[in-house]
Amino acid sequence: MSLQQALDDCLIDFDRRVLVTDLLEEYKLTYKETHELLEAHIKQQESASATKYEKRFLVHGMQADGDCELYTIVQGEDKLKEWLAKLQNSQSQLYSVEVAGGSKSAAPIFKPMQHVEVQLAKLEQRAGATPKGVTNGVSNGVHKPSEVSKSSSIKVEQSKPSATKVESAATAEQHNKTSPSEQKSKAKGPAAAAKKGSIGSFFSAAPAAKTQSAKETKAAATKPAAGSMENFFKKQPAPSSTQAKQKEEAKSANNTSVQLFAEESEPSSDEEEKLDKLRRKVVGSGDESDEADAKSTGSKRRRIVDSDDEEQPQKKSAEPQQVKEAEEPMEVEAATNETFLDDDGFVITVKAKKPMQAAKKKASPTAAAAAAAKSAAASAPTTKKKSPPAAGKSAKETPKSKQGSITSFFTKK
Amino acid sequence: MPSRLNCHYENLSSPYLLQTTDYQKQFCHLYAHRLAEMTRLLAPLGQTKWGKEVPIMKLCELRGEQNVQCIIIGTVYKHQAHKPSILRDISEENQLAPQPQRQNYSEPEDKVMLEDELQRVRLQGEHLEARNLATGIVCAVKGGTDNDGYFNVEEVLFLESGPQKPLSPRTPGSKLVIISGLDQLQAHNYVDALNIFQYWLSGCLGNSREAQSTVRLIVAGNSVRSTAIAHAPTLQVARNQANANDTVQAVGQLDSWFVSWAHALTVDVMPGAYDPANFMLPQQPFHKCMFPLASQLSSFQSVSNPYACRLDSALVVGTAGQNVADLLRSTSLDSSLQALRCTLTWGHVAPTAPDTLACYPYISSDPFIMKECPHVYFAGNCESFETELHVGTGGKKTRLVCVPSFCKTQSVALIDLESLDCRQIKFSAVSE
Repeated sequence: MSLQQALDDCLIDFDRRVLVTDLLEEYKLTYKETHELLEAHIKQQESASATKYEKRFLVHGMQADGDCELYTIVQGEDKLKEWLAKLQNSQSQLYSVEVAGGSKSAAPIFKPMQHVEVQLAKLEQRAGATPKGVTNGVSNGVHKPSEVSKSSSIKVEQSKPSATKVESAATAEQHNKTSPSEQKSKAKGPAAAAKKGSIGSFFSAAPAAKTQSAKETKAAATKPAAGSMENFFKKQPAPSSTQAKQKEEAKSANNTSVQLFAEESEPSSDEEEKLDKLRRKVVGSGDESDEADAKSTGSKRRRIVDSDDEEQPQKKSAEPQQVKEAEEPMEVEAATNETFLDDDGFVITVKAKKPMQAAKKKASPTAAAAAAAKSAAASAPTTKKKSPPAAGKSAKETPKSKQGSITSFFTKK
Repeated sequence: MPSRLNCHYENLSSPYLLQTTDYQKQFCHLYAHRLAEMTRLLAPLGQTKWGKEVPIMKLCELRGEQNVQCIIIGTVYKHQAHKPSILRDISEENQLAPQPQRQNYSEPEDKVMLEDELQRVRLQGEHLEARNLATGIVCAVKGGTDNDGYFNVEEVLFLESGPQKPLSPRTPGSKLVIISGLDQLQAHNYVDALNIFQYWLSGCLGNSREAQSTVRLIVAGNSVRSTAIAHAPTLQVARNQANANDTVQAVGQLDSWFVSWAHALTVDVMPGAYDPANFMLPQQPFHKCMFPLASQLSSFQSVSNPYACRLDSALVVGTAGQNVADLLRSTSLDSSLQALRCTLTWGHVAPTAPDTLACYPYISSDPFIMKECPHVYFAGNCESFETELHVGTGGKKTRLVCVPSFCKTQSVALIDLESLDCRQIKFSAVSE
């Protein structure tokens, strides 16, 4: 639809501010054309009805000192005249229009331009640009360029049957993989399910994505390796075929993903199995973590479940220890303050230090450690007896340690 | 549809790209290399200017000799009482609250010294404009020592950024646009100005002829924000999170701008002082993941700060303005343009680095030395637009441009690469 038609059919709502730049984007016109059409329409409307429009103009000219070129937006025709007189070589065009005295106009929404009047001679896509991966799942509110989606759709069309096969196989695999864990969770009963619901949901969401992404990355990692293995095997019997393949590769060298996809779709099911075996071998020899992934997600699930099971008894076993530890301070609290004479003849009172002992207990979870702490607590008063001014010293040492940290900071540098 | 002129482009910023990231090294290596490299360049200049009869000497060779005419090449050290000092800031012994940083800590009482590899000597003399000097400048001084141990300076010689290649543009009338301080976080305050700017860039505002000759746009820093985040002491974690979210959103929006601009012309984006980039100079190019859409186009690239490139035969060098701002703090220079001119004369992009301007601790080079005199030398994020055609010795012509912050002035700089003419283009909306 042309702008003229849209104006005639009253499809443009002038109750809100209409920018000329928005119109030129929508109707693929030049600024001049848009301005002329809009101006003619407004004049016609103003003469035909009593509707008044609030106009803003874009004034362009040189400032009096001649150093600065100015593009400014002015409101109303009075201001326009004023500015036209103020600037040298001035010109004006409509910038925005809205019905005067209407409701308060919405704030203009900034849109990056799409319509470019002077284009680059060569506009090239950067090689190896991957629009999907880089966003990391967070959209920034901008639509991705259509070119990318087009190319992907072409890829799908080219390798439709095999792709669907692969997809179905993948989904089947996923079902198979998920089923053992589901069975297990069912077997464990509703209580266990309720317990592990949050954890399970967390892991069921994460590994699903993880396995997919892992598959993708694994495929990306293994494909070149598999390719090299293929080349290795095929080189010996038939070098001509490898040459042909290399040519093919060279043809589609600009997009490796297409090439890999095509390669994957071509071989029959037997060949696929062989390739898979090879890949597994290569992956297995390369990385242990991949090997673990290759086993199945079910085993992963089992591991998670097992680890949950392991955690539970650990907690249970840890609880009695804590109870024991909680009991022990009671004994210490019972101990009264000790008062005695120093070697020098000073009267010294040693208070039973509850918080210190408690802290020590907390730091030592095992029974042996608790015993050690106990013995330490017991030995503490004896050491205090020998060196009573130690507490005062330690109090004095705190600023020194501060200073020490600063000096150590600078000595490091 | 008309298309843009094609201009030969060469990115010369490779010295600013960090190969290693070892921050444990001392900065003395940088000063040592600066002195060694600039001594090598200054020595022949000094001899051609003052003749071979005046010897180039080291400070240690001057022992006991007075009123002997000689040339000393060394690094300026300016002793300033109010210079920011980390030791003073963190000193807890005084139990004083840290003093607010001064906007300018230059004073008439500042002492200027010259250091060579081993010693330093205090400089004095009428020809020495001590107030306009800064720590880190390497220069050759002619004069002699007196009884008090001062070196009486008769003349000072600076590198003046080395030789300059002649300007022979292959694309006549090609122009360069430089914009800085887009400050996307505050963009809602000047939406209209930004809107007009982008349509001006694409040649829609009846300026298609001019747009055809505009070959490149340089975005000179502070595209995300143009001021530091106010770190008010707060217990609210949400506040920090909100700041981070704002930055992420702003970068996303910038990406959508850059992708649309990169359809019209080639765009180079430099990081700035307050952008989410590394703090130390040279600031490394933004990672392409920050601009996933724009990075797909070959007409868009993230570049380092400082940035150097050759457009046809014109050498363009510039920064996002940190060097100029820091120089204005430590000297009595009046304007950004004056500071920019000084750095060109001294032959060093950022002489105050690493003293008062954060800089990577290079151990084997100083990439900020200007070995070739640029044709266009710019600094972004300045207070106002200023420009001058600087004519150096031997008729070297350099267009100095102080590019104002777009968020403050809504203006950009347009430079003709053939004639080196420069003018300001302002986009503004008159208040209603």
